[in-house]
Amino acid sequence: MPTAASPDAVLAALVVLPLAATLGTLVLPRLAPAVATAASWANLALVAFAFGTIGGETWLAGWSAPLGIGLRLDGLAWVFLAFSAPVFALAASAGRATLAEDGAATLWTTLIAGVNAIFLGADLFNLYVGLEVVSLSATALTAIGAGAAAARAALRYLFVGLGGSLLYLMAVASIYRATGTLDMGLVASIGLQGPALAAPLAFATAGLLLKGGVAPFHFWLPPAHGNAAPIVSAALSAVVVKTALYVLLRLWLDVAPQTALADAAPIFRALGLLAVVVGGVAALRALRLKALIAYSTVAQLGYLALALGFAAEAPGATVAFAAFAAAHALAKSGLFVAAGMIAKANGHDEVPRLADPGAAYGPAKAAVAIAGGALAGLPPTGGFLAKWTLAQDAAAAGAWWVAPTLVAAGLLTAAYMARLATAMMRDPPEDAPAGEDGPLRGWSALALASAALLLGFLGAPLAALLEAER
Amino acid sequence: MSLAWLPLAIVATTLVSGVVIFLTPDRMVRTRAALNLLGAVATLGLVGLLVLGVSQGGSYSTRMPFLPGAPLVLQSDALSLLFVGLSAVLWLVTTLYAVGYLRHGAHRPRFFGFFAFCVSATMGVALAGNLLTFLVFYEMLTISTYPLVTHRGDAASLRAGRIYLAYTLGGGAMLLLGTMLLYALHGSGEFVVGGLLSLAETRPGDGALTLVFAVLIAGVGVKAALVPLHGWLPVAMVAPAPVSALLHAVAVVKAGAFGIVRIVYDIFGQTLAETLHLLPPLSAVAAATILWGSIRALGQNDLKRRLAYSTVSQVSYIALGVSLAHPVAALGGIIHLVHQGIMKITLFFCAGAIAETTGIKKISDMDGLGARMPWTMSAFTVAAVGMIGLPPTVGFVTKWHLSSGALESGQAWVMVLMLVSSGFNAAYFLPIIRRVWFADPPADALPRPKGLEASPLLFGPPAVTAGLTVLAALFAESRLSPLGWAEALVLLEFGFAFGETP
Amino acid sequence: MSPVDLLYTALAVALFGLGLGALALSARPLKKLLGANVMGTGVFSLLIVTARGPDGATDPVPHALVITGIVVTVAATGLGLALIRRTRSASKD
Repeated sequence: MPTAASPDAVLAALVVLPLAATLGTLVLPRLAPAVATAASWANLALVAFAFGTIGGETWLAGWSAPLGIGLRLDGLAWVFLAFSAPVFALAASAGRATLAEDGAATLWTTLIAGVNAIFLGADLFNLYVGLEVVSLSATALTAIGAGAAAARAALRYLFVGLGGSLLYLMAVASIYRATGTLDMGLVASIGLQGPALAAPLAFATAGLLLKGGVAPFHFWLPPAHGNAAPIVSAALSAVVVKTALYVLLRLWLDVAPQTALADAAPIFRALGLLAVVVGGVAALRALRLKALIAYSTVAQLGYLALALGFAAEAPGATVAFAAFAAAHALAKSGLFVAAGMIAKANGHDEVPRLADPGAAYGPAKAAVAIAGGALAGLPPTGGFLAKWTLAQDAAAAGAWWVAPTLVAAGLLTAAYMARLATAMMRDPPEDAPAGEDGPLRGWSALALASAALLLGFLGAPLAALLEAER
Repeated sequence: MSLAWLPLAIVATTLVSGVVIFLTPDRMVRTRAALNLLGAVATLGLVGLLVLGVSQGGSYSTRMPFLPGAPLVLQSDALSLLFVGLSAVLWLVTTLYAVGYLRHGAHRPRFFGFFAFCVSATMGVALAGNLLTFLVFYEMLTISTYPLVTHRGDAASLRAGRIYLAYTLGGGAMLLLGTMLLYALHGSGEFVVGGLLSLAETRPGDGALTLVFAVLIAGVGVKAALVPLHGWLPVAMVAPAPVSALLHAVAVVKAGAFGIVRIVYDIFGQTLAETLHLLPPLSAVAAATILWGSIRALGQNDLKRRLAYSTVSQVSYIALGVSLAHPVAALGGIIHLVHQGIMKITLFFCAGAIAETTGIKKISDMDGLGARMPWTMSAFTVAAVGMIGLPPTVGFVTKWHLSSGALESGQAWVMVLMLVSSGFNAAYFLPIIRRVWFADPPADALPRPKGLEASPLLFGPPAVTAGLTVLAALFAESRLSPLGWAEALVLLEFGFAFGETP
Repeated sequence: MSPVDLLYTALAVALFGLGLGALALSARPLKKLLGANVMGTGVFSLLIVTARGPDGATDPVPHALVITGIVVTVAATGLGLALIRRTRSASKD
């Protein structure tokens, strides 16, 4: 009999609970926002509880491989769950109005289920299903209550998601054809070589880079993230793009042999640098606040690709990857929520005209400041931890150019974040509306940004968690 | 009694003060002033405790886990005490002044909140026990001073803020790069008396350490306003007077100068720095800065801008003293950390009091102001005499040590530099003093008010700090004077035997 | 690999390529959506060929995968059609 703390129950609950909440939102449509919010918080509690079951795995309903659904919780998976869950919980609390839109609550809980299934997924096909669930629910969320521009952005987002998923599925089919198994560990132990390895890796990588919005495949991201409701943008940029890059990391670390990653590393490094420059410059020039934040996501995703480019030779690169992902998720979601409030208080979102929304927006302004610092990698934030780790490990591996590159990229980020800092200090025009906003939203944003700050102090436990798994 | 938490408590007290002040509504003026003073007095008390403990041979260090293999360390040594003591005293004085200055301003919770954060960052810079900790607080200082520089929120302030951020974030980036490289090369960045790096680590022809030195100095050089990295300082003049006072005397430029001292003495060490020939270029930059700042100061009619260029010049005495590789000159440089602070804060207090009371900002409008504001102008005069370097002020003590150190080590050009610099100082301060005391006030000048010349909170603080510039010089021989501390410190660095550590 | 297997595999890959081309290059949303469906059909065909073991025995796993994949594709197509309608009705306004 599984006890309360057995991995079986906890891991299954991480997928089943949000799905049950999805049913709940359909059965009780009037309570749907409350159900979705409660489920988001329960999910956070479950993730915290799951810390004790790291290393466990389970097969849903007792069906084993190859037809059953296997869930596996290692340190890496827990870290990704641990930064996603607070984003969902706090964003849900900050965006009750959005969740009250028709269907939003249902899609929200479905999204959580899909995200958890990906992070826990132990076999390649279940990851495909997870990717599709996430992609479809995220696409539908971006289209909620939106006009033609948002619908067009959502449609493009859907096509990118579908194309990426199908490229990935092609890779899965090829791997199954070559090995007869879908379990990541078993595939790795079979040791594919030559075209049988290269072809699926190429297909899957292309698909995942597309879904992950890594430049030059980022064209769809700013319109999709920039037109959605703030909490949807928050979830999209914080978690959804990370799911694709998480699968990419798993594929190259756990399935492909290390020599293959070493061979492909220059590609990831080049793409990462490209993304950092392209996203940073676009963010510097962006007129609208949400476009600025969305392009900043493009730049930040470049850091993940860069870290992946060092994962073969620098053991700390995985830590840097996780730290970049977590810091960006927490900071960016806080920034999206706070920016939404500030734009609403200003009555527009043109960066050069934005002004101080007033004393009532203290928490939101603090969230912008802290999140901006975390994204720029200022100490002592999580972004700093990530950069420091990557720079030190890359230097140890002989790549001395990484430290100055990361520092320069941080300056670029600081330059566009300074545009927001300037806006927060600008005196509002005389006729500015005296805005008041629910205090909960500002504090939610501040909580997310503060978590990104706190992450900077958790480098040693983070390294220990990922050490156990590697 | 174990007081290992004391350095952390000092940083935390100021930080918590800032948070509490942020949460105090704008209208609760008295409550906020009280909280502010409470924070400043509590900090001063803790610093007093620290000074007392260290003078009895104690040594305090707080370590916190931070990055893997690189902890945050706050600790007390003689050098940090000098800076911490200066900051604690001047924070209290400046708080009083700022309460008087901002009696009718908007956004006061924000102002005083960031003010406290700024002091917290300065305390952290002072107490940092390794380069990483120094970097953390150095960046925090940048962030927390930005809202102070742009406090007025108008177009000129925002422009100044952008320039300020561009320089200081750029400097922070250089410092970050240098720190990353140092940790990658050496594995740690502890501040060690005599230098962390040893000669054994340098290989002939290996320029890596020289490069690290250059990058680090460029990083701290921005805040220390070394030419050509000084451009932000005159621009940041748009800030309210208490901010300028703090920026110029305690927080920002001083953090940069302090960083130079730390990097030369506690990372590279006197011996290694000489072996790698790192110091002559630093001397050259410092000398150029001293001259250039003075030359530019001459041409300014705006009082605060003239003071700003004067800061550019004066702060480089610290870098110069450190770079001369002689104990007496080093003493002159390190002691100037304190001396420049109390003199310059006096001058900015006075400039603010004048502008706030009479609206006068230009030197050409200051004719006869001595009769109108005798207390303020007396304080100004004392501090200006100190800047010129005349006895019996602390400015003289600085210049005396710098010059005699340079002479003893055979660098006579420094003596010439000191004379030229003092000449410049006189050239841009004496005309102000002449105008104020001996020129007739213009016909349309406001009559002297009955009662006090200004709010006591505006002319009291500069009177106190002006008094300190004389007292610290008169009692320079005392072991408890700033000079006494600095002497002990320099002896440690240069390895002389000495009887009793402070 | 038997000639029949080879033929099916080649056809599957060709379908996938054609669909990908339509999805990536076509300007019309509906055509893009159909392209994605053709891509899916290509992958499903490949899986079905894979199900035929060398000794004529059938592997059930690819069939399960295909059925799941079809369900997902249907859902995606439905969402796509709904979004296409939304962009059209919105552009009429």
